[in-house]
Amino acid sequence: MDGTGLITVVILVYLAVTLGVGMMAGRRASRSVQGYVAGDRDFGLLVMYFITGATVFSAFAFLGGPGWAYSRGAAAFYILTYGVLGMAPWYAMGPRVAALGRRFGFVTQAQLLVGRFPSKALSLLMAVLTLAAFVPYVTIQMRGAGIVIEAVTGGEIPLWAGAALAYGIVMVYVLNSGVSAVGWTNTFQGVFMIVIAWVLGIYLPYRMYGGVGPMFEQILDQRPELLSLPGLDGNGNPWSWGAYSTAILASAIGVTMWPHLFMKAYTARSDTIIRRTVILFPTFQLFLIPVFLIGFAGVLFPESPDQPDFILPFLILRSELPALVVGLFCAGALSASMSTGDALLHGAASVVVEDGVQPFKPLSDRAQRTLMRVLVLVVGALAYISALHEGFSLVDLLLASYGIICQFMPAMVAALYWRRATTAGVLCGLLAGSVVSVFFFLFPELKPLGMHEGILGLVVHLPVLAAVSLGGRPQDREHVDGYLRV
Amino acid sequence: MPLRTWRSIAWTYHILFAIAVVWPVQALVNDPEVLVVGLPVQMAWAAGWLLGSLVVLWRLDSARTREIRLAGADGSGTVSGGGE
Repeated sequence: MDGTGLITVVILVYLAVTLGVGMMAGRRASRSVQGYVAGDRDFGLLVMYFITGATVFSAFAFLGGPGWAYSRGAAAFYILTYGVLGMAPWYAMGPRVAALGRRFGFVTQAQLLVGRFPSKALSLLMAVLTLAAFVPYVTIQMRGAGIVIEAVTGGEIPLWAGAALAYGIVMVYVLNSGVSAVGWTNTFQGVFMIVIAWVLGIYLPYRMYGGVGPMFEQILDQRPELLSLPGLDGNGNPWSWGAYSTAILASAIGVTMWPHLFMKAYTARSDTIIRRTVILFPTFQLFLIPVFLIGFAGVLFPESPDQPDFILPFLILRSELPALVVGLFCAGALSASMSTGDALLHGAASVVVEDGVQPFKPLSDRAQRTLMRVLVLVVGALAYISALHEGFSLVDLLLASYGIICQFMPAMVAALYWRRATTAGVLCGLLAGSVVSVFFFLFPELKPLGMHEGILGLVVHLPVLAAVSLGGRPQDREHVDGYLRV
Repeated sequence: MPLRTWRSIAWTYHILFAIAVVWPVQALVNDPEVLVVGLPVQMAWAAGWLLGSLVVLWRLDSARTREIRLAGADGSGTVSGGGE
């Protein structure tokens, strides 16, 4: 068997094991909406740690991170900082969200928001915004999987077929087992990702430059512009401090507001498990360091991949490693893609049914589960079509999604902590912030100081939320106490 | 230290963390010629804040666990400033 054949076999074995883990996980959960969406609220620390880490770290981090370090240098460091900054408030918010989930039976983010601020329009708006942000995010993951498989098979399995193969398997176990499959496959994939990132991130600089320090010294000598913040933009010109700083802030504000991550608060067995997951999160975040080292290792490499996002498989295939090891590394990259993609597909289907359909047309438990499964297929198909188009970077796609997602934060903080917030205030704030964010996404040349559209959206969102809330009648005290006294 | 103090320390730490990694503070820690344990100083700066976060959150949780244990021992069953 030649090298490519052996690599392909390793990847197929990896996919088969993932499928097996995902299918077996579903045996433990009950056949109810709560079992499918919230895992019967029974995840322990191990699964919660990996489901959080592996869900946050996706193809965006594993392929896009090295891609940015390789092509945009220090600009990639923004990815290193925002995760922990965003996760720290979850130490306080997460257990509160979980307690409200147990008290009122919530399984989605919008259910909590609409519980505090009763409005079918708000529920629908959350479902639409979630879907709008999720499709590009799933697209990133599918494209990442396709990139890896195309690269390691030397183009014999093209991107479209690779993405279809990997996500065909994801869909099978998500359709069958729901969030239980997501949790246990993420645990398996998370271990895989961490080990592979650290091994490769240390090995490549040593093999190519004699060490990490010597690698950066040589880059400094030949490409010094790459090691100075705020790094470069997508065209190779200097990035702005406004764009760099607001990318960190928008991502930090948005990270726990991603519905697929937020909803995991409902899956934890206890509040202590949520808190411990937050405490341990920096250990997952540190795995970005070797990921960036991989990207920097490619900077002075004599050849270049077609696109920066290909740098990881490109280097691995040229590092003269045994084919078996290359196959395992590629399986690690696939893990990163699939561990987030499965949570996204599951989350998108759950949100659309629970928040976009159920408030308008109540369905039986069985009908909800069936519709969720249909929607897993629909969202997967939409993202798959998008993934086949070239011309965008994985990191750029995610940054654009954050513009919408970080608009959820003021509404959620108001729901959990602000007695005086009203339904009209939250609805108007969310609408205003989202419109401004989308406007600046469509017309980036109008952004002041190159600031992230999500932050610009929040500049409008916050005063609108405050002004409309304070201008209206306060909510019933007893109703508010149900959400604030947890 | 009591839980309330650790909670304040954790908030303060993460606000300082946010300030430290954006302009203008980060612009002061931006000399590409300085390497710390082989890493560019900006990368080591961010990694240092990450590790600090791990320590601060761990101490906060320890304080919380201790206070819950004490609250259980004196029969009051409440944690100061509860409702986290």
